Amino acid sequence: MKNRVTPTNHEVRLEADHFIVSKTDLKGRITYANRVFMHISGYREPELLGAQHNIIRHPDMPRGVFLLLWKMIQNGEECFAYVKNLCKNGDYYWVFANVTVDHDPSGQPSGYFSVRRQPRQAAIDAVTPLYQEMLRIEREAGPRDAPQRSLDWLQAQLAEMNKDYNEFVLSL
Amino acid sequence: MKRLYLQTRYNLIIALLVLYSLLIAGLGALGIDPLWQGVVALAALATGLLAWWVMRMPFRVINNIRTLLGEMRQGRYTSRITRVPWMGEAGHLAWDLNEVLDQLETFFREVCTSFELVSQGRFYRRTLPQGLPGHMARTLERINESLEAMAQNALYIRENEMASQLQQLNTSQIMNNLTLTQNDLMRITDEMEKVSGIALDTMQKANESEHSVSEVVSAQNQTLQLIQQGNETMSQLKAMSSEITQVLGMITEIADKTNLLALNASIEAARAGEHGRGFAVVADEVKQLAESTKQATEEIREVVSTFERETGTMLDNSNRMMEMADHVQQVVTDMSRQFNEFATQSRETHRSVDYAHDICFASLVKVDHMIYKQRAYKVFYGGTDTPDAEAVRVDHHSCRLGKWYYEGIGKQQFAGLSCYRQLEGPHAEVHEAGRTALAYLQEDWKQDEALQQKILDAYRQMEEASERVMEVIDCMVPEKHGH
Repeated sequence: MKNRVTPTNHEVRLEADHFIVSKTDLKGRITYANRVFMHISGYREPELLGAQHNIIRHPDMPRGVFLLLWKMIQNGEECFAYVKNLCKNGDYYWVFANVTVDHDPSGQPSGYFSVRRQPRQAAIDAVTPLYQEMLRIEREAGPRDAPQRSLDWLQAQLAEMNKDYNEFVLSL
Repeated sequence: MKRLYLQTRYNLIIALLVLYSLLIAGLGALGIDPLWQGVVALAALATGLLAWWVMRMPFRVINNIRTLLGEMRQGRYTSRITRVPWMGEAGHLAWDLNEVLDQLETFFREVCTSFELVSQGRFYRRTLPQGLPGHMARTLERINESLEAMAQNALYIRENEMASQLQQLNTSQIMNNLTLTQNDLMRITDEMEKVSGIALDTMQKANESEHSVSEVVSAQNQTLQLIQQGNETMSQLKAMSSEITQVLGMITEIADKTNLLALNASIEAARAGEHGRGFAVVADEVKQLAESTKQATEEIREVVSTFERETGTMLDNSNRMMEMADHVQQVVTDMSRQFNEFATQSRETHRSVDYAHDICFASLVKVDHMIYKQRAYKVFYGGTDTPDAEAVRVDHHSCRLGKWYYEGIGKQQFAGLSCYRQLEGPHAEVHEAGRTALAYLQEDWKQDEALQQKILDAYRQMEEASERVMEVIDCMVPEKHGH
């Protein structure tokens, strides 16, 4: 299902003592969303269950970030990210996301678990220019190479700082 | 899955209700239109069906809740209840449970992920208490404090490990270097010994030469003296021969005068005639005597002249010989002076070489001693059943320094010195401390702080005694050489 929501400039804020929880299967289809998720995004449970998690993807988010996220969680690592999300009505909200792997009782990966907390404004201010640069690179690269190209750029930045990605995100 | 008690009861009540309605419909059949009987029966069935349908969803939710609680009892927090459209008591129950599970799962994942990273030696990750309620958030905060302590600890351990590894590297490297130095010093000492032997030989030969040369000089002096004496004798002879010639002249003069007198006498005798005959005979005799005298004098003159000539030649020769002897004496004197210098220098050389040799040897002894100490340190890293440990266990008679001291060159060359006598005490202490440290290291010191302190003390004591050993060795060579 393609996203036909038109983004607005209105921000919705996640409260400090709340967090958004959602679960997906291995392909990224939503299998569970908590009430905070539904409340802030404006979607009802039947609309979310079975939908791709990118239903809330905001066009201001570079695809390279999600490429990295998928690479990390498919590798069994946890992944942190500051993410700008899109509500059903076009509003947006920033979250500080943490995604980890779900395991079935036999220990096999069975899906992903994501917790989104209220982000620090300073961190949002720090990632915004990074994301803008990544978006610029993606626009230049064309749709096929876009995510990889912007991710390469991000990883070059990280290499320069001599930090791994999570360490960098947590330090913001 | 066993059905729930409530659901069973509820379904039973519905069934009884339906049965009751059917019964009423059946009993009332007597006076009631059959059409109505059918309607009543259908209505009873429909009511039952409706009652079952209405409660089906809440019961499903309750069933799900029960399943979930069962999983939670087994420590699994991953499942949730979805598709709960009816938001009554059961629905709220389900959502509350979902969100408690969200909290629990988040809590455990936070703890789990953080510690997993810690176990990989990565300490940047802290748990995120934000969004979690009360006790959970406080627990995560506590855990973060522990993680912080662990991170500090890990940093400290890593620093220590690093220092320890460097130290270990250094220790083994020092050992290698010391062994190299030891070999070098042994070679240098050997070479010095050879050089010292050569210098000694040279000195002895120079001394001998000095002696020989002085003999030559004195012989030459005597020769010169003899030549001078000969020369003087020649001169005297020459003077004497001219004196003789003078006397010969006088004799010739006397002979001539005598001859003239004899002539006169013979003339007078002739004049006297017969009376004078006898006298004439005498005068003749005198004349002949004068002639023979003159003849003899001439012969002597010739002899003396030959003698004078030869004496002159001899004197010339003697003078030349004297000149030559003079020259030879100068040369020999120069030579003698050079030989003296040479002998002095070779004595100086021998003394310096001997001193240098002793310094080298003292250095070698010190290096031997340092190697002993290094081994004592290596035992700390390498363990107490290594060749190094064996070397540390020997007493102060059996190490290289000990052998040098009690049996070797040390005893031969230094035994008379006061420094030599001072060495024994501290050297024995070094070994005692080394062996003490080793004995403690064999015990379970890692768990025992008192024992660790004792080990440190033993090493410290070893160093203190070793410092005195070094001082004493340092003063031994100057003492021997009177510096």
